Amino acid sequence: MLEMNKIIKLYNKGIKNWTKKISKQRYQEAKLVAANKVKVCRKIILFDLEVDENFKNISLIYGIFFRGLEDLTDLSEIVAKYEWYKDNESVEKAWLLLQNCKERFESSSKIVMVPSEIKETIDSFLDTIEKDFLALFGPGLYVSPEILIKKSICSICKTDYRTCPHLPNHLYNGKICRIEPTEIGPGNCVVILPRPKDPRCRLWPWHQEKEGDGLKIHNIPLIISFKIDDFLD
Amino acid sequence: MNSDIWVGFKHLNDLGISPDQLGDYDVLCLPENIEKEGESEKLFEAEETVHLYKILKSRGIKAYCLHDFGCEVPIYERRGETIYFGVLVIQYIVYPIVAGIIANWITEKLYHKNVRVVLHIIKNDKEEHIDYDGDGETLLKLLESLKEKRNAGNEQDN
Repeated sequence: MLEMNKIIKLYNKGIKNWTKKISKQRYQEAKLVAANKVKVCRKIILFDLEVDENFKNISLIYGIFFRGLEDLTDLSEIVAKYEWYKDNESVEKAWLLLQNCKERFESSSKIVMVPSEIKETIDSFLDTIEKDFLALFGPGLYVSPEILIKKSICSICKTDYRTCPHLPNHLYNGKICRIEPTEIGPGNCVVILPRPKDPRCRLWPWHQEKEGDGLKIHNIPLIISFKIDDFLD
Repeated sequence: MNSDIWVGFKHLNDLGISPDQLGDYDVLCLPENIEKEGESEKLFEAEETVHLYKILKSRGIKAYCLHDFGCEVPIYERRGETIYFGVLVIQYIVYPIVAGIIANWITEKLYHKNVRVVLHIIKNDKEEHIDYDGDGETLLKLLESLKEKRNAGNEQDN
């Protein structure tokens, strides 16, 4: 039977190992370290019948953190390239990865004990990238759908979301409780706004085209189905 | 029906939910447009209203939403900078708990710059109505001042 302390030591060793690889710009090796730890977390959450709920919840949080490290590795690789910001595809990808990292690290930071020097390096790197985006592309505009959910179930027990006992965003046996729409109603709309709930749906200059007095917008993602725990899908 | 009665209660009555049916509730988490609409097909609940309802129930508070009275309304999920809590009818006695939960929520969800909430607070025969649409920080101050006012009132009563 797995022991929680031993597993946490293994996870922490993985964080240090990842740091060594990334500091030498060995992106593929760094990604492999993070991906392997994500696999361990996934296996514990989904298939280990002997561990308790707390163990699974801890593994979920570490899994989210290691997925963040995978994203951070990809982001580091993109921005290490010369004039990456001149390539639209790289910009869009880097933006998504930046948001993923922020969300994943924010969700896991209270539980995952990252050595302070590593944490500071990661925070400072993400902060620099964010400032670069602001300097290069401004604060931006975002598209966002508003959805009317007629029927919904809970992601944990699959019963009616309103009446089940599970609380939104709480952890249950290594899984996050959220609303799962099963029937969407009519009257939905899309809004363009400066401060969205999800900054991934960003409207880039190359998505816009002048048409007469108006603006034609094309090729923009309306919904990006991002989940911090996507490794469980 | 008494013309002084709050429009939200009138609309609940139109929906077939009488004061007797409401019983001895602590909090009613109502659709955000309950003051404008009295027909169930036109009503909708903000996603946060449903979350708040579930959190309140988990804390042992007698919270009800329209679903509990057999009235189904859709959930409106928004992705903007405003957080909508809907219309909350609160018994004075549980006000500090509800205010605390809302305050924590606003503090945690930093990306929400604006908050929209209607608080209808009931103390014995008196009702206080607050329709708030503004920044989170000011709402925090308002919630706190209402709490202080309540405590001062309790001391006077004693």
